[in-house]
Amino acid sequence: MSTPTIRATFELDAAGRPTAVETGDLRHYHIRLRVDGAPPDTYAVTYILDPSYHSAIREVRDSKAGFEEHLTSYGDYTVEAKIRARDGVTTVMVPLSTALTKSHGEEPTAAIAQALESIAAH
Amino acid sequence: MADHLVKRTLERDVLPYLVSARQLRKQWFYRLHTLFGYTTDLVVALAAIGISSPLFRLLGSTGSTSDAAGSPPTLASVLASVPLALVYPTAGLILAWVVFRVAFNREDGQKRAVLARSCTQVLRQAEASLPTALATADPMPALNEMLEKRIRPTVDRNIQDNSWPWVPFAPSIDADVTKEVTALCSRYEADWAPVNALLRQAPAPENKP
Repeated sequence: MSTPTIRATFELDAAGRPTAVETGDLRHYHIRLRVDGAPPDTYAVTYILDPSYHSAIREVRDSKAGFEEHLTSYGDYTVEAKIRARDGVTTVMVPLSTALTKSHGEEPTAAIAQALESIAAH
Repeated sequence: MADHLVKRTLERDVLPYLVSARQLRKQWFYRLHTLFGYTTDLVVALAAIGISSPLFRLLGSTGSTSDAAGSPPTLASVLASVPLALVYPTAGLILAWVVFRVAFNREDGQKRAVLARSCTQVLRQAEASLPTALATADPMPALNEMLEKRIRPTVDRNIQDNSWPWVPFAPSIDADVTKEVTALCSRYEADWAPVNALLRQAPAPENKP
């Protein structure tokens, strides 16, 4: 059985650029989190995000959508996911920037590369 | 206007667990555990004051050990002790009792009922602490702690042990959840400070790189 992994991708506009909300000098990029390779009997995934969110702990129960969760972030931190299945709870974690870089491939577009740099820099 | 984050958390996460926990008492293993417990205690109490019959002793025996009054009675001795008109009802009762006992033992009813009772207590304690958590300007830290340290670990353990039969919420709880959310929000919502549920808070100036 494959090890579950956290996958993170930027949400893109029609032109393929990452979408974001700007507040002050921060760009909060819209990001989708999901878990790939979760056991078939997984009933929920609990994402533990950075404490700077008001809702830093999020439970997702939609297995058909790969336990997808939407969030925004201006910077990097370690994302933790508790994969809750009938035969136990598996915890996986990954830096957000690593998950984004992995998902967008080795040669991302200039706009995505800029967003990746911005995330990694904060 | 979007619902307050606290209201969403109550509606989506906290209350479905708490309301589901109340349904545990309606599960067959919980009910049989209660029935067997009361029956055994009742038979022992009756025997202690000198009231006994083979039927009582049979119903009060645990099945794996002899009862307090000695070896378990036989079916023949039980049926011989009841009036003729009650032989068939008594035989039916004994048959049903045996089926329930076998099912209870084979399906780990005892273990599941004990775990379910413990789970119910933990979630009832969490429910008792809700008013304190909600009567603050920012209830989210307390709600998150309640969910992460008390509710979810307890429910997860009980799901693994088959004593929480749903994954993860009981069916048909929406009306109860909505009713309780409405009651809690009408009492506490005015105390809650507005928050931006979407964005991270900006770092403190001294933490900026």
